[in-house]
This record gives sequence, C-alpha cells and structure tokens, in this order.
Amino acid sequence: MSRTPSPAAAAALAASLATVLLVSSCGVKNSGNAQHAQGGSAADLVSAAKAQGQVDYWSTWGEKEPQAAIFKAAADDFTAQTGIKVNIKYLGRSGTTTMPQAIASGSGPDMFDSGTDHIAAFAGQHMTQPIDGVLKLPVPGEDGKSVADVLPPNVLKSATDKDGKLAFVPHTLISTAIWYDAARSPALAAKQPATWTEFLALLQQQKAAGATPIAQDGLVNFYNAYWFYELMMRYAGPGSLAALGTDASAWDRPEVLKAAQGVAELRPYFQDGFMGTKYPAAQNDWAQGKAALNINGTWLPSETRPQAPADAKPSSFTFPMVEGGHSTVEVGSLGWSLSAKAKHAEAAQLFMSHLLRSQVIGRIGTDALNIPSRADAKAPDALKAAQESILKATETNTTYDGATAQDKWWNNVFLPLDDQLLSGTLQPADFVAQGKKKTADALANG
Amino acid sequence: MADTSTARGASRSSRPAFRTAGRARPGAAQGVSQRDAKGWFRLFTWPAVLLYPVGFLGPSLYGVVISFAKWSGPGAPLTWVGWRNYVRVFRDDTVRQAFVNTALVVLVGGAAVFALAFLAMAVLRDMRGRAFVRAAVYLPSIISMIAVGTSLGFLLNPDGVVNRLLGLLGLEALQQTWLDPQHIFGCIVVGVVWMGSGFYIVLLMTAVDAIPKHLYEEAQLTGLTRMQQFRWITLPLSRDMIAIAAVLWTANSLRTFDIVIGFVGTAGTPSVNARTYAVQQWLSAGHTTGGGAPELGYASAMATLLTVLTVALVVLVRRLGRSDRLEIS
Repeated sequence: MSRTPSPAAAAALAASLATVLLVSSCGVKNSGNAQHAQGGSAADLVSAAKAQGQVDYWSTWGEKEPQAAIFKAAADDFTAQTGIKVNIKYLGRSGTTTMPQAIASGSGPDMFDSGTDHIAAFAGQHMTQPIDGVLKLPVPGEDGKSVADVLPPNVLKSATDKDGKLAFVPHTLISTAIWYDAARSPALAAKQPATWTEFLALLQQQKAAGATPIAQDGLVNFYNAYWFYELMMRYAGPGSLAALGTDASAWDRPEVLKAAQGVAELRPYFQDGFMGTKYPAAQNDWAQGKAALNINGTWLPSETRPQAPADAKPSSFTFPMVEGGHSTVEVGSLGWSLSAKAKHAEAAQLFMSHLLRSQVIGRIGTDALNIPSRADAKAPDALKAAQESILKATETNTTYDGATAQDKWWNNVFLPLDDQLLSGTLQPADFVAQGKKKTADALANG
Repeated sequence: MADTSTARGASRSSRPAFRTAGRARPGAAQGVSQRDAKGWFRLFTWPAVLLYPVGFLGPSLYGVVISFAKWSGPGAPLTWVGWRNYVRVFRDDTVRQAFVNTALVVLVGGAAVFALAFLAMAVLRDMRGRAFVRAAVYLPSIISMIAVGTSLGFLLNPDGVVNRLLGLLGLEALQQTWLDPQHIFGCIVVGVVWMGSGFYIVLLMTAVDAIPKHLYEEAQLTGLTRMQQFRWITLPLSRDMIAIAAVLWTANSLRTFDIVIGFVGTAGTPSVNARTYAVQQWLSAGHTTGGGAPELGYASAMATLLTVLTVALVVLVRRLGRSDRLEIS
C-alpha cells in the first residue's frame, strides 16, 4: 500500500530534509525527559518518522465539520509527500471520555485534539507529553521557517502548560469579546465604548431607546461568568481569578468587590427573564437583531450565522477598560496534542509541522470561519477585530484565566455564586463574603 | 456403550420418581431424571454465572475499592486515601443540596405519581375506552427523558409556548421565568411526574384487572360508592403490586439524571438548584465544563453511598408494604 511520491512532492520532501539537516547542524540538543517530545535533532525525527510510516490521529471534530475536512485534506497531502500514512478516527465531541482508557492501555492514538481548557485535565490523566521538539521543525515549503517562527508568542503561550512546556500545537485561536451587528448598529460600528463608563452609558442609551441592550443565555453558567471574569482581568489582571480558587484570602482584594459591583451594574440591561433563558435562545435573538450586544467566544459569528439576516455584519470589541486597570486580552487555542504513549511519536510531530503550512491554517479562516493560529493567515471579517486585538496584545491571559483547572471549585463554588450575583439574589458584598467562606471550606474539604 | 448408558439412565430415572411422588416435580412426572434435569439446569446457568460476576459484581466491587482512592482514571496514579472521600461527601454543601433535590423527587414526585395512579385505579377500572386511555398515559414513558427535558426546556423559555399560551388566555399573572434557579427544579419534578406516572398507572391497573368483577358487582348492590370500592376492594387486593411499584419508583427516582441534563442542556453545568445526586456524581466524574481531572474515587464514594441508600430504602419500602396475602373465595 506504500505510495510513490510525485516528483514535485519528492522535491519538496528533499528540500524539507535539507532544511532539517541545516537546522540540526546548528547543534540542537535533546533536552528534557521526554525523548520523543524533545525529539533529538530534527533530522533524526524525520528519519524516525519515515521509519514509523504511519500516524494514528483521533479527532473530536465531526466528520462533516469544516475542520475535519481541512485536516483530512492535509493528511492526504502529507501522505503524498512523505509516504507516511495518516489513520484518522472520528470520535465526536464525547471522544475525550474514552480516550484516557485507550491511551492508558496502549491502544490509543499518537495524536488527538486538544485545547487550552484541557491542558490541566489531560496532564492530570497523564494523557499527553510536552512537544517542544515540534517548535524547531521546519514548516515545509516555507523557506526554512520553523513552527516557532510562524506561531506568534501570544499563541504559543496559550498552548503552554504550567511548567512552560508546549502542551499542543495550536491551529485555531479563541477569545472572548462583546459582539454587535455592524449592519444594525452603525453608530456602534463607528465608535465602540473603550471604557467601562462609556459602556454603561451605551447600555443606558440602548435601554432608553426601548431596545434590549444585552442578550444573555442565563442557563449557561460559564457564559454568565464572562462578566465577572473579564472585570477581574481588567481590575486585577491575569492570575487574579484563578487565585480565588486556590487561596481564600484572595477574595479580600478590593478588586474582587469592584468586579462584583461592576457585574451588579449590568443587571438592568439584560433581556427579561434572562436567568431562565435556555441556550441558544438569547444568542439567536442577538443574531436576529432583538438585542444589541452579546458577550461570547469567537465562535459566535459562525454559530449564529444560520439565524442571522443575510446582511448581518457581526463584529466585536474588546472588554472595556477600567481606570488604572489591565489591558490584558484573552488568548485561548485549539490544536493537537501528542499522546503520552504514542507509538509513532516522530511521525505525529512531523505531521503537525505539515499541518501548520499556511495553505492549511489559512483554511481555518476561510473554510471554518475561525481565527487561524498563524499571524499571516486572515481571519473572516467578523473576527478581524478579535484577531487584531490578540496579535497586538502586550498582556494576555488564558480562557477564564485558567480558573477552570480548579474544576470542583469552579463548578461547585464559583459558578453558582456568580449566577446568584448576576441574577441579583446575592449582592456584591455578600458574594465576596460567601466566596471567601465557601472557597475556604472547599479547600479544607479537599 | 449406548445400551449400557440407556439402561443406567433408566435405572436413575426410576428412583427420583419414588422420592418425589406427590410433590409435583414435572421432570420426574415426564420421565426425565432429576440428575439430568439438574445437569441441563447447570449447563444453562453457566452463561449467567459467568456474566454476572464479570459484568456486574466485578465492576461494582471495583467501584467500591476505587472509592477509597484518589484517582483520575486510567493512566493516572492511584493514591489510597482511606475513608477521606466519604468524609468529603458528607461535608460537601453541593452534594447536600443535590441530595435534598433527589429526596424531593422521590417523596414529592412519588406522592404525585401514586396519587395519579390511585386515581386511575378508581376511575379507569370500568371506564369506556380505558385501553386507549391507558395507552395514551403510558406514551410519555417510552419517550427519551432527554427528549422530554429538552422539549420542556424550550417550551418554558421566557418567551416560550407556555408563557405565550398563558398570555393568550389572559393569565399574565401566572407567567414565570420557569427555568431560573428559583423555579427550575419544580419544573423538573413536574416533568418527572408526567413521564413516570404512565408506567405506574399501567402497572397498577394490571393488579386491578386481576380482581374478580363480582366483588365490585356485589359492592354496587350493597350501595358502596366508587371511592369506598377503591378503599375496601381495589386497594387491599392490589397491595402487593403497589409495594412492587413503590420499590421500583424508589430505585428509579433516586437515579434521576437525564431529564435534568435535557432541561439545562449540555452547554454549561446545571445550577446547584437543579442538580440531583446522580447529576452531581456525573459532574464529579469529570463531565464538567472545567478543565480539571475527573475525581473518580470521589464519584465512586458517592455511587457506593447511593447504592447503600437505595438498598436500605427498598428494604424499608418492602417491609412497609408487607402484608398477608388475601385469599379470594
């Protein structure tokens, strides 16, 4: 079943190998304790990859989703160029449930889909290994540029674990922003609120005009948490929200109360009965112009596209600044992890370097309508503002500030309290007091 | 060889026939030896004997063992923590709330289901078109709870069908934010009752069908009302089936899970007000929106406690429902 590469493909492979040899001659050393992941020299990795001859990739994308089609085409191309076969298995979104067992038993894949949110969980289950070795691999056909060269530092940071090791190779960026439809809000398209004061004024103006300022799917507690999380990032900066889950005394910071008070200020501006609104009713209402704003992830434009009018022009602005606050921007990403028990680790890493070619990552913007991980790949119009703010950011934080890694605290302490704060059943001072007490109890209870 | 064995078999078959005379042993009566019957019996029980320990006992015991460990699943290190997971369960406010919610489903939901079932026993017994009515009330029981929860969830949105209908009927005062944290669990209990009552009505009606009709005819002649007939005939003669139904309800409602997920959806985790014990256990097993590792030891401790509670409640319900069998002459 081996396939003979075409002359063009052979030339590309030869050029790729020559670049690898050039890079390896610079004396890159094998470092770290994961031999596969750190990779020895790039030339060694390519040789080992070819000897292995195949890659097993388990995908949690649906087979008919654009991402699956993009990666399948790239896999076919990789096979044509290198002779290394890529076996793709589509597990769907629930695939991560069965993956730990498969990996532990040695019957799992070489590589699988991952994301910023999953770094801690996958590491905790010993499913992954660091893949810093990929960074020095050349991206084929790109004049010797390495993976590290084509991925901006902000993007790499979003795929890095707490020890500073690369946990996965990112292909898509995700962030949070406040969304509006430029076609229905031309004034907002001309000038977006830059400060919290301006933002509240905008909300008041919308409400006075008889519009619903914010659409909120209140049954999705982690959507409700966007407001407090973003205000914490503004007032206290990266690390401040995550600290609330690991240290009860972190609730004593005055910025926590300020952020809670900011959330309370928003209550009059949501749609009626927002806490009882089931997803995706509110975001669909926003898409149809029944509400002016919606806070959400960068997937919102593509997710609401079927419900939106044909002339809709979704766009976004970053969360407004507070006086003396932080200008941090959320950068999360989706990508590919290397299995801790990968049988074809080198082949998988070589495949990842091929997946980062501009013609593959570019399709994340054009076909999947998401933000590509490469700075030179264009995001769709609706996400241009979000891409720009990510690339320009001088200070970044991961999704929810990484607080979700404290899974039990996040789901049992923080999210319920945040729901009560947003709905008004808990006032800001009580929110802080209960947050401190319940966090202390949760930490004491293990 | 064949003749010898046949002769031996014949001699064997003759002995049990004497020993079991008068005890209605079908095998013996039909000339099949007791030993042969036992042999076949053992042969046919082997699959069950093998599958039960492998498919149920083993995993169950493994779950109990894991409940004494801190473990995130295959591939992760396993650390023995003694009774710590059990202590944590009792100290966990969220588990306590989830347990209270579950108790409400069992008690309040149970009261509603059995009230409806008793009403059906009194009314449906001799009603025209009762077969159709039974089929109609049973229908919700065969629909997926996820589907029911999901549908009800959308019907109960602030601008959903329920509030719109109330508005059309001029009942604006009754319009609610049905799915907000204050109301959502009440809606879930109503959904559970709507789904579950059909099954229990059909179950109890089978007991009613077995009651001889002449008892009711005699009761009518003596002037007993329909409720008196229910009190003095239907209820006592259906007692065994009611006890069975109560046991089934207890065991099933303690595991209420999918309707909650249907109501809330999988985007986000259910609010604490909406969580049942099984939902909380599911979340502890790593099915959250967070990025933490699953706590399988903790989830196993929750499961073990639920099993113990279920067994205790089932035994209690059986004891409460125990009665001397009534003989009908």
